Amino acid sequence: MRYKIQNIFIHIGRTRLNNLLCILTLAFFTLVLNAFLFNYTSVYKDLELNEDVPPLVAFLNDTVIEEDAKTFANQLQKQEKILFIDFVSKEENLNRAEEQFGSLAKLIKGGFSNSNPFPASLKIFLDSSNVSRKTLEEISYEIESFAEIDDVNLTGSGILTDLFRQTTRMTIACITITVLLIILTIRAAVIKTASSRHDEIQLISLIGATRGHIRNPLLFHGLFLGFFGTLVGLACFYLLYCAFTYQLGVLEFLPYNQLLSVVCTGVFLGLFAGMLANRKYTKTYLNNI
Amino acid sequence: MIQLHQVSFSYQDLSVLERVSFRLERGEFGFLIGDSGSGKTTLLKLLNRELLPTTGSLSVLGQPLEELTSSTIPYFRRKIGVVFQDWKLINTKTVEQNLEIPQKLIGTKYRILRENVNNMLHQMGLVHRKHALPTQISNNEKQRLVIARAIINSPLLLLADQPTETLDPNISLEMLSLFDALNFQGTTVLVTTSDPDLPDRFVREKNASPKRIYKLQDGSITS
Repeated sequence: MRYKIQNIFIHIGRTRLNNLLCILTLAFFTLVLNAFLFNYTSVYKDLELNEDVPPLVAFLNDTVIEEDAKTFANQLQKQEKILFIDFVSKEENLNRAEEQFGSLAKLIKGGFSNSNPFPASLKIFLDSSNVSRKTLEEISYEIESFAEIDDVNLTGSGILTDLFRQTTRMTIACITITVLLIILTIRAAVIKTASSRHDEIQLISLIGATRGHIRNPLLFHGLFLGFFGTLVGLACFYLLYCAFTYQLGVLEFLPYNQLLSVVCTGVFLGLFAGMLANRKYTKTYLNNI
Repeated sequence: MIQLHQVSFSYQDLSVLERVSFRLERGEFGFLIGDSGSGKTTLLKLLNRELLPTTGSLSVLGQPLEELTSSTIPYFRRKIGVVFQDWKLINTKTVEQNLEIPQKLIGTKYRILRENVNNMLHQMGLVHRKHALPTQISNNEKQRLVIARAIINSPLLLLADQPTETLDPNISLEMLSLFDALNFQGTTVLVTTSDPDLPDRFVREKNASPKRIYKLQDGSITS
């Protein structure tokens, strides 16, 4: 056991420059990955904040009376992709504006000779799984074609949902590529170190080293690189976050669980790459002796 | 101890050993004599289970080698001491560290390991070179180190692949005396050499008991 542990440290300490370069490369990949995760988390948080905001708001013509507007809303609700519609009367919109603008609302009202300038509107909620910017625009054009409708607005929430979908897609692609690159980098570094001590590994295998004696240093080397690579990457990312706090505004740093999962993933990938390196090394260099 | 029955081995199309059969009993000292390329090293590799025969069967230490699995091979090899022809010394480790490797592999306690290593360094006359790297010592010293490494774990069987090839004639006989002493303690020894006079010279000059001699020619045992 003592030799096994010693052997692991000897193995890891063998190619220091190789390890350093590998850790820096992994740190860079982690940095890129974190940037994507950060972006994803930010968009997700924004989306959560706008959860109650409908993706579309249709403004009714002033000529449409409330009863007709409600009947129209009921008919519209039956359309595909529309989840439900919330009718907001002119008065409600005025009250909301008064709440929102305070004393300025009186000025607005005064400017329109005390008549209500706000139109009645329909808050249109859609089946969330079908929402993309293109779909939103298509539905919006469709609704706008009705005579009762004056204008249809795409709200931030609708656009954000689309952005979220794109971000998710990009993040998944980035994770996949980064994971592959991390595995390949660690595998190459571990094999390089193993080949640099090939004479020793070959000798010990010929005089009675068990599989563990050969395999463990390679696995732990992978684990070591995965752990420190992601750790250095996270540290660099934090430093960048601190440096750009002003530009990033209210955006928060990654949550602890996400940080922990990045490190755990690094460790797991390191182990996995170590296993692959062990397989390759045993087959190619030791020829299964 | 060692039993080969109709063992053949070939590297792809190149036949190296052809129906080799011989026996070396427990506690015996044997010489395997053969020219360069006659298959001596391949035979030792088969005995250390580095290779498997193409046909035939062989057993070492009472163990049929084809029955060994990848998990039992290491424990089998720990019972054998091998003096490799190409030494296989670790050039980044000192003489002392090279000697520690087999002891560490079998998990010898540190205090005992130190004792064994120091004894072996004394026995082999390498104490003054213990902090030197293999690249800094002479061929004689390298050979002594390799032998020390092979016998430090007190193996049941010692396989020495041309251990006297790089040594001066006198030192060669000294080395063989060392093997003889080890054999006297019960270790079975098989030494390969390309010098056909070496066994006789050893018996004559060192007054040793006669040894078993096998001649390997063109991949077959001739006598």
